[in-house]
Amino acid sequence: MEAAHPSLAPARDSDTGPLRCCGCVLVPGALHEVAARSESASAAASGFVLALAAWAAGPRATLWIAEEMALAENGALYGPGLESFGLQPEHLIRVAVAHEREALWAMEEALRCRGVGAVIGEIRGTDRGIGLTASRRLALAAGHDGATAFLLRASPSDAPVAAATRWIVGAAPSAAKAHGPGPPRLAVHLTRNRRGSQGSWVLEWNSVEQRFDLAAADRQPVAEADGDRPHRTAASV
Amino acid sequence: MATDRIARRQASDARPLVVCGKRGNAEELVAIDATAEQRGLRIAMTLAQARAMHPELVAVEEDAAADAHLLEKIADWCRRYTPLTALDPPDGVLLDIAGCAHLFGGEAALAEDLAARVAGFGFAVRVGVADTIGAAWAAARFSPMASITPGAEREALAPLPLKALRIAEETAADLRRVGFKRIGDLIDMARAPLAARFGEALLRQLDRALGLEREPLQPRLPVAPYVAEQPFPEPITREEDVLAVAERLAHRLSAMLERRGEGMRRIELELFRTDGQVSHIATSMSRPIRDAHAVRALFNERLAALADPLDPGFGFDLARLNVIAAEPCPPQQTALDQSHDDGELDRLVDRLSARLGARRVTQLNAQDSHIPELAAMNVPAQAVGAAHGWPAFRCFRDAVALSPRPLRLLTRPEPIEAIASVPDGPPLRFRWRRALHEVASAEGPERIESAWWSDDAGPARDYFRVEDGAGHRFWIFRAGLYRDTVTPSWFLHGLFA
Repeated sequence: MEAAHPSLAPARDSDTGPLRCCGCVLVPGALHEVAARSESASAAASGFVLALAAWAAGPRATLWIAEEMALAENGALYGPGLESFGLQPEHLIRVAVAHEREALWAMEEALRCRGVGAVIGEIRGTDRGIGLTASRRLALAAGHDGATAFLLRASPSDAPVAAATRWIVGAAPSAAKAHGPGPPRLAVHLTRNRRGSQGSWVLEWNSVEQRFDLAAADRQPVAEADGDRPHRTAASV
Repeated sequence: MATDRIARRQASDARPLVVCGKRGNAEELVAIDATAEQRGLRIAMTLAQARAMHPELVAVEEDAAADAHLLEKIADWCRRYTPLTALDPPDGVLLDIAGCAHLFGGEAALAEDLAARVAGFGFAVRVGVADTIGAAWAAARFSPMASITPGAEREALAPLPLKALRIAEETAADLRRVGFKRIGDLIDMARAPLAARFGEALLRQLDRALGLEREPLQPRLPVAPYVAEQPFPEPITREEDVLAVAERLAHRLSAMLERRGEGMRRIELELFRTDGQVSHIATSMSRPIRDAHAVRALFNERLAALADPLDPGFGFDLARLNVIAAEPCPPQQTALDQSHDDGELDRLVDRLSARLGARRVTQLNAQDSHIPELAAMNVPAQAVGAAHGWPAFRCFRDAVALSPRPLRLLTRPEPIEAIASVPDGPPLRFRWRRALHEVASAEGPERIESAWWSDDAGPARDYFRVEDGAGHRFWIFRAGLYRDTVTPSWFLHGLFA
């Protein structure tokens, strides 16, 4: 396993984040929503959101706030596996909450704390789930001190959310090597982007450089049928 | 006391009330109320006899647990006078009022106040004040005068019956048989023959009552190193008032703490309700603090998280802040590396822990273990120090070139049905949570031995990192080897991104 020392990570100023390959700059101090394409893609979505959060947090703490139900279903974050996604386990604080209301409260508290760089809220997406008001509160709290908020959903939702970006993440077959699975690949679908274009990509996680690369086999964006919006390349919103 | 406990719950009538319990093979009276006593009933009388004398009597089964609980409640309430309170079962509470009697206008005034308040709650009460526990105990139960002046124990105890020495019933009976009736008969007797015949315990109790031997009082609850309290002439009821008082008390303590270079690590707010109930609200901090405002914020979270909201009843008339644990704390709180942020983060952790419970706000500590589920341990974030063990884990990982570990680990390995190539190949397909996965590529095995030195260790595990056709990646293992067991079982343990 490749070591992920902070010194290897490029300086933040010149860096545009782990998503520069798709031309996206992750806006810090905003709310982003990441949904697993299906129940089985929850691990892939966790990896995606963790990579973004670790970059956004930098040397500050990352909080992973999860409902106890979600932890029972998908397992808890495993310390020895975190560094491959750029997060040092000592910078992680895990919070288990009983229900969505507590999760929202804890997220808001955490976002207002200056020692926190990123807050991830794992929500078992139900239909009545997080509404526009609650997400707006989170977005405001995130803007307050520059911490970045991520909502991690177990399944895509159509409910309106005041998020800067909305992603749907699924698993994708890796470029298998002779001795086993290659670096993790994710099928990523950006369905909403306040500041730029949308798109679909298959990304490969590069744990040495701490960034995503376009998967070698398809340098072209792939149009996927399973998104909830038709594929568009033009800027919108 | 037992009859008072029952009488408090029901409307009183003129009928005698007794509590009965099994002693040996007979139902006996274990507690009686004043009416019953007037009518000639006595403790240790059999229930049948009592019923024969007074058919209208009300007999209630004894409930020792409820009595003990009530006594604890009373002892808690008595902490309003002194933190040094001890239980004296079955029906007594001991208070060490040395040094705090003047706060209540002297010993006599304190005793009077205590007696009046306890009687007001509906209990028959007798108070004894003396220099020794034994003398006070005797005074409360047997003496016509409630207070024994220092040095006068001998004269005061002399006319009291032997039972007042807190000795076993058999010893008292033996003494009576040889003609000793009062404590005064014993005081000047030759000690050696007494000890030889009735045991050392008798002399020890006598010495303790007279103050010749020291008898320590063992407080029921630990005595806090720092205490501040605030009585209210007009009871307070509102939550904001409680918080304001907590802040004021914390502020008062902070000066004292600062002088000694200490900070609060665990604190408890004790609220005394006018009707005798005492509420305790405790909270703890990640690192010692002296900031009164932070204390208020923590209690705010604790009050919000209480399962049943704080019930003020008719109001609280005394609030006390106990610092249960104090730790050295430098005069100005300077943090280790990122000075500013660390303090903020600690306060956040404290707030979250106060509201959600310390066990739910955790950090990961690396453990020196090769067994996957033990390699990282969940530790309350408030308790984590600088030693979290991850540098050691990194050294180990780089040294042995550890194969990738999953991002998420299931709470416990889940059994799967797998078809694999014998003897140690990866599975070809497996079924997990009712879904069938065809394995497209696999890496392994990585053999992880069980803790063979421990009795309850399972078989060795062979871990595989597998990917199915859709790109989901799993960490699965086979428990046991094909050559040891005919059908080893397969488990899914973790998920890779």
